[in-house]
Amino acid sequence: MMNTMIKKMLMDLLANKIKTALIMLTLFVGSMSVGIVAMFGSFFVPEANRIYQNAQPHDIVIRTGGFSPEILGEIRSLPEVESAEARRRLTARLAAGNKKINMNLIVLGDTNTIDILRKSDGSDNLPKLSENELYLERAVLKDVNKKQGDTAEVILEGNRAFKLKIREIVYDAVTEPYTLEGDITAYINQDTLKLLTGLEGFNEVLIRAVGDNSSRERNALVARKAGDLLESRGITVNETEVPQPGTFYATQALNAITIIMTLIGSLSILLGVSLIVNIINSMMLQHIRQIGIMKAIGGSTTQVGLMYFGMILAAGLAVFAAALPLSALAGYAVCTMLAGLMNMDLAGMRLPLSVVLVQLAGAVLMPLTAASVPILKSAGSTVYDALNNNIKGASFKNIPLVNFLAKKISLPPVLLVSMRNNFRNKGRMLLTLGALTLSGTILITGINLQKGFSKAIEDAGFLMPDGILTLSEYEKAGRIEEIAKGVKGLETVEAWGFCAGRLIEETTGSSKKVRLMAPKPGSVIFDSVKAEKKLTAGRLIKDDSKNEIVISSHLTELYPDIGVGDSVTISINGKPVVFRVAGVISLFGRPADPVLIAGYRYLNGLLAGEDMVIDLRGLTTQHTEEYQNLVFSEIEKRLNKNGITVAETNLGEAMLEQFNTSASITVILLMFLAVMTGFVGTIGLSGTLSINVLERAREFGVMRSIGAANTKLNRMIVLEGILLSITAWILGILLAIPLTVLSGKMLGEALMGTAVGFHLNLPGVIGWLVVSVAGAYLAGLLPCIKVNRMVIREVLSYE
Amino acid sequence: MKNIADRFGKSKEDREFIILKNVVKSFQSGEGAVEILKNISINIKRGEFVGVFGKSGSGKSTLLNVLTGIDRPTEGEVWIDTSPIHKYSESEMALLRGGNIGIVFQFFQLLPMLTLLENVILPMDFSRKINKNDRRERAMLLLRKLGIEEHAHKYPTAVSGGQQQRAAIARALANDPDIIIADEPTGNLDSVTSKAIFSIFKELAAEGKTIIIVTHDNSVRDEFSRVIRISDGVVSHEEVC
Repeated sequence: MMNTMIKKMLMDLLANKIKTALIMLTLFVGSMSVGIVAMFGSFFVPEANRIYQNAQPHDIVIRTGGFSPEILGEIRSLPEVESAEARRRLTARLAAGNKKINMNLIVLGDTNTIDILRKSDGSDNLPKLSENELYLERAVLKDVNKKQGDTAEVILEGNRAFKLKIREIVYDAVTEPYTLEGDITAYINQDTLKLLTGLEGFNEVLIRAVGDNSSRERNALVARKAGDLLESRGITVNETEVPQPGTFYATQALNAITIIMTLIGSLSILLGVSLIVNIINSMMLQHIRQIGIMKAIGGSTTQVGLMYFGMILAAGLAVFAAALPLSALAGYAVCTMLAGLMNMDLAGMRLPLSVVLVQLAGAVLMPLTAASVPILKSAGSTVYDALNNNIKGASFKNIPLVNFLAKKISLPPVLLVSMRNNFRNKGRMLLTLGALTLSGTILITGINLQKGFSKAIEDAGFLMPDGILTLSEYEKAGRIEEIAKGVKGLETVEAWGFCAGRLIEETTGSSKKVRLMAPKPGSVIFDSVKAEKKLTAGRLIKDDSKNEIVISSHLTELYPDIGVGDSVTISINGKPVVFRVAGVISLFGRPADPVLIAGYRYLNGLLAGEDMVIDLRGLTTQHTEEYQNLVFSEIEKRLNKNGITVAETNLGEAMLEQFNTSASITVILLMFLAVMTGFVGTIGLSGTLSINVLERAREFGVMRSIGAANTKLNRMIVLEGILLSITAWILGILLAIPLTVLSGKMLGEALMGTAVGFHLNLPGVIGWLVVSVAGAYLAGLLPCIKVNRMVIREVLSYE
Repeated sequence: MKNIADRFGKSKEDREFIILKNVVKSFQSGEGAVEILKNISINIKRGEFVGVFGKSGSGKSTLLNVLTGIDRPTEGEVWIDTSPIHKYSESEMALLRGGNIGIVFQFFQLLPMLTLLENVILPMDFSRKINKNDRRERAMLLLRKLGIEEHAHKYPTAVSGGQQQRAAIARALANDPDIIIADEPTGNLDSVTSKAIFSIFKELAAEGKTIIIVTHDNSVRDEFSRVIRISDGVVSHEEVC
């Protein structure tokens, strides 16, 4: 026969169906959330790192002037070098319908064909490339409908189009994929390079260092040796890139997602705790007399306490058994989606022990801990108190604030009763208020962030116009502007100074590629008022500025020591130029190469002459990607007619798409979290109102007996909920201010490269008030039904 | 199974078994402390069948609470055999009650989620005085003794008030306690059922149990071996019948 204590425990679980369901639902939501977060942290992040590291990324990339294959042999013979490969990198575009997508065309050497690349299914029996053939990296297939054997139209500088056969769809686990970066990656061999461009040889060396390559400093020394060797052979070293070992292109994105996921997990636990404390509190209140009886017939505090802990344990274990496989599957689905975004193939599902432990903690340990306070309080109460329902906090207390309001403002008695009732059990009120405030805070933060993100994207317009055409050769600024001006739909067109350079690191001798841009004096696109607001130090460049430069936050992230007044050396066309830093500006986006702003005349003077430019940018009347494509294709046609060729087109919407996507995902996640917390908070509020009703059953009986109709009593209950909701709404707005500022900084920097400022989304905030009040009304319905069903005789003998 | 006397190494001589010495019980109210029991001293011998009488608010239920350790005296001492229960902690008191005091309440107070049989087994599961394998058999024996064996597997809501009270008495007897204390055990029953229940207590008294019953039913006054009348928190009358 089953032990009577265990039977009572199980019967209690079954008897309180709604409470049990609420407990289990709360635990399930919490357990699923932490399970998915744990799957992300313990499975996906290590898996993504493993996939990247398994592809054996190179420790060093040296970009140079052209060199022949023989030089590579010399680098390989350096004792610090384990292996070295040579490549060449060309900028091209792929024709895809009426669009031209920017393409990194990588020229492979014979030896590195299968070094990093795999077939799209991950196998390594990659067929060799022949003349007029290319490998197409698989990530682009989501937007470009191509397959093995198809023809791809590749457009090189000077608008020269070539038809190449797709030899294989390949997988490159090391290069940032099209899905994240927006540029297609494709590969050709030396024969095709010669055929297309007449060029031979390489301009890039990729090196793996011997032995322990986990130190960036050590890898930098190897890079320096290789660079010295190249320079001693008369080869110009343009850029040396030594990535931080163990990190890769998605590290920052993963960190941002980790922040959000951890936030979701932590909040779901917090909410779970608050709701469980509320539910258990209400259950213990109902059971207090039974506890008294059990103790009166010999049950000790420990025995009685263990019965209730056992009940929570049973519910927790049942939830754990259900949530573990489900969250593992859901977590794996999320990981697969992210892997798709990052062009990675997960090696099957795995359930790390840490995921199991975290879920066990979420489903069992957390509720036991949360329930311990109400259980121990009730189980530890004296028999006398338990039998007489002497529960602390249930009695009426004088609330000075309410008394003050009652004296100063003539409040209706129903409102006064509702206000005072909320203060009867401060702990319970605070828990409910906490859950409601939390959901309000998250939602208001989410909608504020959404506005902040939109504003940041809008503000980015001063450097990110609707389109940028990079020409193959320098042209007179006035001429190209004049050609473009007649195009329908083009609002403004400006020729800007632009060039790539390399910032020389004085200490290591290595260098970092940078992009220098120089807005046209009096530029409309470069809104100096907006730009001023983005300055974090110093000032903007003046029209007559000579060797001054404004550095961006992208650069200070890499070189935090550089500040206003410092001198930096930038190699432009192989010639070192010393610039003085005039200001630091916070810029939108996460470009691979930091952007710097220089004086128009000075920069152009260093290049092809004061009025010679290579960069044409404009604003269109409509801002959809289709419209931008239409306008800038027309400009390109007109330029072509005038013998001017375009090397690269970048459309504003396409550039912003990745930021919009990540911002939208963030906002959606926050909204989801807010809805979840709001739902849980409303259930909590309903629970609180129900307990309040239960506690005051006798009072309701008395009120009924002196003539209070159901409508009056219902109004009182609903009003209690609405008062709590409005308080939570106000607190939510206040707490959302620092949270928006903090998350705007953290998420903004991680996702957009710049802190997102505080913007109050007023319509959203007012909308939330309406939803909160409606939720409170709904939360009050169940307790109202309870009261309406009470019969005076029963109610008065309730206790 | 050990009773209190055995447990504390005392003999079962005819001596004071329950002692209340100068007991004061007061409660705080808005107008200060209100004394419910005013310096009460009572001695009860083993095997006595005691009736405590008094009007509502006289303090008789408070006296019972103090006797069972449900409530503590504000002043004074309460001894059960050699145990100074006024000094006992809640858990020590639970242990003592579980093994040695059976309590019967006016409203039966059976746990609604357990059958009558399980309600009787529950105190045995708490105290573990009775061997685990014997508990069910003993519970059935008690239910049989109280005439409700056929209702053993029913839940409290499925039986009458009298049957519930019989089950409650069976529960009070579960651990074969020396003392049975009942608070208005017939107060919620009709007169026929009340008589039947009262006769059960008489039988138990005849078996040598020390029984203290709080009641305001004067018709049963003569059934007790001793009567204590409480009025305004003091013992106003005491007689051995």
